[in-house]
Amino acid sequence: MKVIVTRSGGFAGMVRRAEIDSADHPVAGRLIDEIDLGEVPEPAPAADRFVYDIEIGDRHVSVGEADLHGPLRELVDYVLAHGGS
Amino acid sequence: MRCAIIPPHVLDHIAERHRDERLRELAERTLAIDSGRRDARAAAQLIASAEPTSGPSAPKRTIHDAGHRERLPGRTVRSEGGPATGDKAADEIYDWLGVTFDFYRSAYGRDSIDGAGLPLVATVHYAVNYDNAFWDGSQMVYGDGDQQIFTTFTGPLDVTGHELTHGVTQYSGGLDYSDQSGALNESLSDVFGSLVKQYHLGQTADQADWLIGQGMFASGVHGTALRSMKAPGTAYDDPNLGKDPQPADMAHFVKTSRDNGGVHINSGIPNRAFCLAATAIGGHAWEKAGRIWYDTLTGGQVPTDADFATFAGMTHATAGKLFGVKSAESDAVRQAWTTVGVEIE
Repeated sequence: MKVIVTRSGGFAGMVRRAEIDSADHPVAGRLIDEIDLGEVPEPAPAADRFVYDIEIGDRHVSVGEADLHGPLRELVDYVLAHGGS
Repeated sequence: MRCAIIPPHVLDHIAERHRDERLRELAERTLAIDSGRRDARAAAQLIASAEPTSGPSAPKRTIHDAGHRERLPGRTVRSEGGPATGDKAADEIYDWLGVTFDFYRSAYGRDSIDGAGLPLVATVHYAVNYDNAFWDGSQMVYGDGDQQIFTTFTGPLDVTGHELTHGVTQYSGGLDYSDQSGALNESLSDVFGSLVKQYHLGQTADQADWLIGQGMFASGVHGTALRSMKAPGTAYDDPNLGKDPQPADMAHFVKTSRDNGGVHINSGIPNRAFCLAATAIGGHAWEKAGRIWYDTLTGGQVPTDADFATFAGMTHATAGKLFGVKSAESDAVRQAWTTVGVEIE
């Protein structure tokens, strides 16, 4: 399953995008199984905080930095570390 | 969407601490009846217009160290008047908080971020390789940068000026942090962030570099800064980072859902309007153009969902009030907004 993370915002306002396929990354696959996107709150705009757009297969969620916890946070960190650019 | 009334903790603060009895009473009343926006905005207006009974106090700074964790505020490493810590980031921020406090006090008679002596709290060494700095609604937070793209967030004074100005905007009634009002919120932070730097260096408008975040990039990054107020879109152009996406006028306004509707992108338009006005007026930019923008922001009249045209009209009206409707200053403000494609009715 394709996982795409796009980080925008922050003081710098620069966009950072990274992408992996969970088929090549068993760690990501295990994290995806633990994630409940229904639990993610609507992003509350906050000055200079990062905003993450996360696509997992055909599911999509936007989450504010302050609300990024648990396995979703681990997945985001993993994809940004291993998914290039 | 953030509800931009004066938050209860702010009213508590005013009710408890403000020197002006009228303000304390109004804040108490607002808290008591919780009738929201109108009273809260009236309080902001009164704060702005109140004659201080004594001059602004000295800063009350506390610097904390998060030790690369994400718990705030972290261990206290320096309090007001305390000796330097030897930690570069902590000592830089202690100094920059002091310069920013002094700027608002000297230029506009403002007593700290809230206009009522708010203690200035900052945390350095937040998280690991964290490429950001932010105002969280009550304190400053600084990462160290990842050392590949960003080497520091504590070095450039304008970063601290930018972030503390988010606090000033918040205490002035707020600007919704999305779309055009969000880009105005960002622009105001860049404007006063740049003015703090110009004030510190004693520069006139034509001497200033009008750059935001100069000196943050690691060597090898193709760019001079994060944003250019004078020439938006020209601050960096790097194979890895891409090109500075800021537009210089309304014809190039960027529609995007990212970054809360491109608040760090479209801020280039009002940024350039300020730079043009300040350069046309001449002299120290904080004295006239800065005063016009400051009085507009803190006057309690800016709607939280203001768009560029609304804010532009208000700066023009403020310029007329301060310097006369037919003054060169008023003309400069109108011309600046017209140049970036924002018409004033």
